[in-house]
Amino acid sequence: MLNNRKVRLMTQLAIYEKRQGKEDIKLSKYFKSDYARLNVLKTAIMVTIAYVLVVALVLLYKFEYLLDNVLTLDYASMGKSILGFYIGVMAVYLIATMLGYSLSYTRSHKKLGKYFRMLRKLKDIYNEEDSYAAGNAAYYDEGEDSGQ
Amino acid sequence: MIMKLLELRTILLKIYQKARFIINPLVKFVLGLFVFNWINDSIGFDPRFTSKLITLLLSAVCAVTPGGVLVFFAMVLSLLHVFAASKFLAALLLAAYAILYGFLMRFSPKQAIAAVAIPVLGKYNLHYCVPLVLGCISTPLSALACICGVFIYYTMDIVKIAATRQIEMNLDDILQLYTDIADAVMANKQMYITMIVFTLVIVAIFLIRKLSFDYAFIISVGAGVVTNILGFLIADLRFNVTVNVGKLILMSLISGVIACLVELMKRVLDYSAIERVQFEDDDYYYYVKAVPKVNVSIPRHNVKHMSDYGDNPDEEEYSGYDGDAGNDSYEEEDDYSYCDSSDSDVRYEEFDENDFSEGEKVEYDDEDLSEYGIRSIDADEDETEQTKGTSDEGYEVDMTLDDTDV
Repeated sequence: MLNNRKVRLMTQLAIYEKRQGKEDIKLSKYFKSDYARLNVLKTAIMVTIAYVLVVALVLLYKFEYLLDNVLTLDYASMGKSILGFYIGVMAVYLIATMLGYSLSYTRSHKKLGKYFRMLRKLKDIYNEEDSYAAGNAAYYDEGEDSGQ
Repeated sequence: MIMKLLELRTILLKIYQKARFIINPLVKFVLGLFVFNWINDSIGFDPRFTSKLITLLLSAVCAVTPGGVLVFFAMVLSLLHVFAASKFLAALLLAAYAILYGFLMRFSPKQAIAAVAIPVLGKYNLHYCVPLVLGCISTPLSALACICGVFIYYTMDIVKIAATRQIEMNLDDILQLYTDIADAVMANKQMYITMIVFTLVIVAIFLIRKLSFDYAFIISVGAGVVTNILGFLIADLRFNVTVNVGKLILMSLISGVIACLVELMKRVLDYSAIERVQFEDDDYYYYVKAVPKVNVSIPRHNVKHMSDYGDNPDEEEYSGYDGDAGNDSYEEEDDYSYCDSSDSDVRYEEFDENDFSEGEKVEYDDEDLSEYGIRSIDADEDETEQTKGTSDEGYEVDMTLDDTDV
């Protein structure tokens, strides 16, 4: 016989798993620090690539000037400037990434809390059904009248 | 008027709920058509890719794939067109895309569609509605996608002009071309102003809609419209950026109306029935303001068959006339099972109020629509933050657990 409580819970669980749950459950395999570090690493790689491209475009823009002054240029100070900007940009991105992904992990963890509570409810219903089937309980709630 | 609007909203949501498996792909398909047609119109240098068949095929693929695929295809198509005109320009455009992705787009992938929506809507001067809508449904991070969209919108014109220049591919010409493009991009004050104003609009809407005063959601849209208009007007006066004031105001207002409609579909709150309660537990003292959501039931349609059995006795028999009631009638059968407990007048018998006790969300309508931008789970949670702790029927209910429950 259909148990309405169980059907409702399973539907809610399935909806969650199909949508946000995918990301949340995947994320739950990590510790918070590991998750944040992994994303910091990805960000560092992407920002480095983007920065290299920006530097290349700037150098191309100044190509004529660079060719004219190829012997007199202060390469050391140029390198320092490029590196300084890189460190500055990278620091901003890494801090923002660390904070952002930590926050998103915490939010996701809360949603998973709801999910686990529903799973426990479902487990309780299964236990009730088993008890009823084993003859240890005279009645179990199918949810038609009392909902939960 | 308001009731009619709310009824219309309920009907639209209901239609969407039933036909979302058709509506979603259809919307994506139409969006794809707009985007690919815009690319073909703007920089359609390669006639092989401007054919209707390619556009339809790409749109059809986009209809059944996630939104990110549309953005990817748009990017690839634009690169192919530019590649046909100039390999150097294509390389430059690829570098620009990579920089945009690395620095900006990576952090707001869910709003990537904004990056193509701005150029497409910009054709009709409706691009103002993108930050207004994003402010209503998303976080300030979506400004990053907006900035990408604005960049693409203004850069495409420059690329188009550059690609039409017939140059020989020697180093001097390439350098000259590149310098001209870079100068044009850097001198494009309108682009920077638009980026700044759009970011301000998103942040203003987000900050105001998070406040707990009455009608904060609608006021936030108004604030966004005002920010948009004032931002561009100040840019016009202070930075000598040419702005068509009449068009700006008109299009901002229209965009505001669109954002209000989005807000209307997302949620409607009844501020005349605010509940304020105070209670405490071991750790906190709670001051709770609970704003009920408006749930309008759709009136039942009673279709009455007035059979003139005196003139046509055959019809009397056909219509099942019983001779007692005077006419034969039936009630149109609609599935109202998604209605919540406040819709008691239209509820089917097999559901009673207890079915929805313990704050279970009234399942399928709200939850199902969240993924499609009508109403998001996050938005609900925002709501629960305002109304945290309440569990009355008809109000949002917070089911968040303690850490110990995890």
